[in-house]
Amino acid sequence: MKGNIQNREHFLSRFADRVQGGVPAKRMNQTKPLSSIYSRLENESIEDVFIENAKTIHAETIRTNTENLTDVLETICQHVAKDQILSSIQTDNEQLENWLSQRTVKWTPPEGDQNIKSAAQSRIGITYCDIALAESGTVVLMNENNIGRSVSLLPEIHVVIIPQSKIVPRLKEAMTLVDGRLNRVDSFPTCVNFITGPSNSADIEFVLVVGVHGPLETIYVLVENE
Amino acid sequence: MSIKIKEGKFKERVTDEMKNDFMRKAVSGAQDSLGNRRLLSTDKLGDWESWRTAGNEIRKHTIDNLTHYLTMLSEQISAKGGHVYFAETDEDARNYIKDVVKKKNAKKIVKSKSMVTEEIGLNAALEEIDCEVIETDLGEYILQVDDHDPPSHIVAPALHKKKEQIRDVFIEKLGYDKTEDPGELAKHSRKMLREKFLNAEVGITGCNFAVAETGTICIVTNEGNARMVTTIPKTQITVMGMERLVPSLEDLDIMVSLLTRAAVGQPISSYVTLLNGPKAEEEVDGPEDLHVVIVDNGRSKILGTEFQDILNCIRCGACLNVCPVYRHIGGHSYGSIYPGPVGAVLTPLLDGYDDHKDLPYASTLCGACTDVCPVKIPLHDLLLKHRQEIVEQGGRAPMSEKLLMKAFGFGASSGGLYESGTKIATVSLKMLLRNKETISNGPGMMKEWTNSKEFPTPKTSRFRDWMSKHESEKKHDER
Repeated sequence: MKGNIQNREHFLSRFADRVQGGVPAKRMNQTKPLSSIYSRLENESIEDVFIENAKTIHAETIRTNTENLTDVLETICQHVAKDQILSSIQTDNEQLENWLSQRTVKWTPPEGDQNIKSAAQSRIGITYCDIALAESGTVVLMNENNIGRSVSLLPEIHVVIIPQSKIVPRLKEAMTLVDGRLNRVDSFPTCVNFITGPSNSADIEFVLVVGVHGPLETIYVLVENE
Repeated sequence: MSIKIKEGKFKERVTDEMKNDFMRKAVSGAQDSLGNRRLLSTDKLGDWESWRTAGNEIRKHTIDNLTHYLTMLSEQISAKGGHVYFAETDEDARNYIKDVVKKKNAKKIVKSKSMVTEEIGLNAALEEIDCEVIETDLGEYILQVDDHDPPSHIVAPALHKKKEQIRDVFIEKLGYDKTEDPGELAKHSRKMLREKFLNAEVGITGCNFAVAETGTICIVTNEGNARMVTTIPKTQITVMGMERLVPSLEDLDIMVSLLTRAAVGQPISSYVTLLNGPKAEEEVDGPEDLHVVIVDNGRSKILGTEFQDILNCIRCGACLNVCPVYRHIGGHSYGSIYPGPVGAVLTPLLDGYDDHKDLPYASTLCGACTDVCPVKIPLHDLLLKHRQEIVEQGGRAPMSEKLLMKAFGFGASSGGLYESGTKIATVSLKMLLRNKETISNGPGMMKEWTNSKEFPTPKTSRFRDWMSKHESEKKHDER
C-alpha cells in the first residue's frame, strides 16, 4: 500500500526559483574514480584478498568445501556446548538443510515475534551471504520474507556462510546487484545489510572496543567450490 | 537541545575550555590518530583526488536539482509503503513526530545517532509528552546519562570525557560496579541498552544518505545500534536534513566510500544498512510503519547564495580533525552542536549571526579544512565570506576590530596625527621589548595578538625617517 506524502508542494515551491527545474540532463562528465583493488586483483586471487581484509576487521575465515561444510559448522557450534543456535537460510543443499534442521532453531515467520525472542536467546546466528566484498572483507545480507534481520544482530556470535563465487571486488559491484534487486516491483529486499566484522566502538577515550550492540564475534565460512 | 548548546561569550567559553587539559590532550590525540588512519585508507584506495572530485560533482548536481530529487525520493518511499512529511521548521518536524508517537500510544523510544534531531530539539519535545527517549550510540548514551552533556565532535560526541568520569557517572546513575576499562563500560551499556531495544515501541534514526531513485535510507554505523533501532520497534521514524540525498545507488557507492574513509579511516564501517520501505507483510522483524521526515529548518535559505556549497556537507568530521583551532579550543567552545570549521560556516547560516558572529573568526584561514573535505567544500573561503558579510551588515564585527579600524581611519586621515602616531608607535613598541627580540605581553588591543603569538621586533626607525635621512645624505654626496 502506498504511503502518504504531506506538505511537499508547498515545501518545494518556497525555493523552486533558486534551483534548476525540470528533469536534470544526463550527467555525461561525471568523474568515475577507480579503486586500486582492481590492479591488485590482477596479481592476487579475489578470495585471498577477501580473507586478508577480513582479518583486519577481526573476522576469522575458515576455508572449506560443500562436502565438509556441515563438519565445519559442527566444530564451531561445539564450542558453545548446549547454547541455542539460530539460522535463517534458504538452501538446496540437502546435507546443509538436514544439519540445520537437527542442530539449529530455524527462523520461522508464521511464529511472528517469537522469532525475535528466540534470536535474543541464541548464542550463535548462522546466515548465508548474498554478496561479499574483497576490498573491505564485507558480507552483504539481503533481508526479505523468511530471511530475518535479527539473526545477524542479536546473537553473540555471527557465523556467515560465503560461497566463493559471491565475492566481488568492492562496493560498486554490490550496488549494481542491489539496484537490480530493488528494481523488481514484486519482491525486493526491504533491508540490505553490509556487515564488516563484529560491532565495535571507539567512543570512550578512543579505545577500540569490539562487540557493542551487535555480535561480539564474527566467523566467516568460505565455501571454495560454490 | 537545539543548535545552540552554550550561553555566554565565545571568548569566555574558549578561556574555560582551554583550562581543560584532558579535553585538549584527547582532542589532539584523536586528531593525530584519525588523521593517520584517514591517510592510510585513502592511500590504499588510490587516486583520492578523483574520488573527491566525483563526490563534489554528485553533491553539487543533487543540490542544483533538489526539487527534482526530493520529489523522486518521496515518490519512491511512498511507493514502497513509507510515509513522507516535509517539515519547513523545527517546530513542524517536532509536531509531526509527536503526533505519530501519540497515535501509536507509544512511551518507549530508542534513537540512533542523528545530528538533525539534536538540531530540532526532538528529545525534549518527546519527553514533554511523557516518552522515555534513549540515545543508543555509546558516546551519546554516555552524554545523556551524564545529565545531557552536549556533544563535542560530530563523529565522536563524548571525545572530551575521561573514562574515570564515565565510570563515576555510571556508578551514580546506572548502578555500575566495575572499573573504568572502556571494554567493561561498553559491556554494561550493552546490557542496559539491550533491554531498552527489546522493549521499544518506536525507533528514531538519522539518515546518512537517502537514495532518490530507489527510496532507500542508508545508515552508517559501527556499533550496530541503528540496526537495532530499525529491526525491533514496530514504528520507525527517520529524520533527515533536506540536503541529505543522492540520485542513485551508483552515487551511493562513491559517497559511502568517501564518508567512512574521511570520517574514521575505514574502507567501510561495520554496518552500512540500506532500508527500503517498511517490512513486507510476511516478514517478522523491521518496522510495520515507516515515516521519513524531511527537514528544512533554515537550509533552503542557503540555496542560491554564495554559501550553497555548505549544503554538500556529508558530516564526516574530517575538517574538525585537521583544524588547528578546534585542536586547541575543543568542540564546546563553538557553542553549537556543529563545531569545527563546518560548524563555524553552518551555525550562523542556520541560527543567525546574533549568537554566533564570533565563529567565522575561530579560524586561522590555513585552509587545512578545505584540503581535507571529501566533497571539496571551500570551507575557509566561506569563513571569509561570513566575515565580509558580518562587516557589511554593519556593527557586527568584533569590538576590537571595529575600534582598531576606527582609530586607524581617524589617525590616517590627518597628516599631523599620522606623523606623531607612527613616531610614538616605534618608541612605545621598543619599551615593550624588555630586552627581548619579540613582544609576548602587549597591552590593550595588542593583547589579543600577543595572547596567542609573539609580536615581531619593531624596526629601530621609521621608514619615513630613514628615507628623509637617506635623501639628505644623497644630496650631501652629490655636492
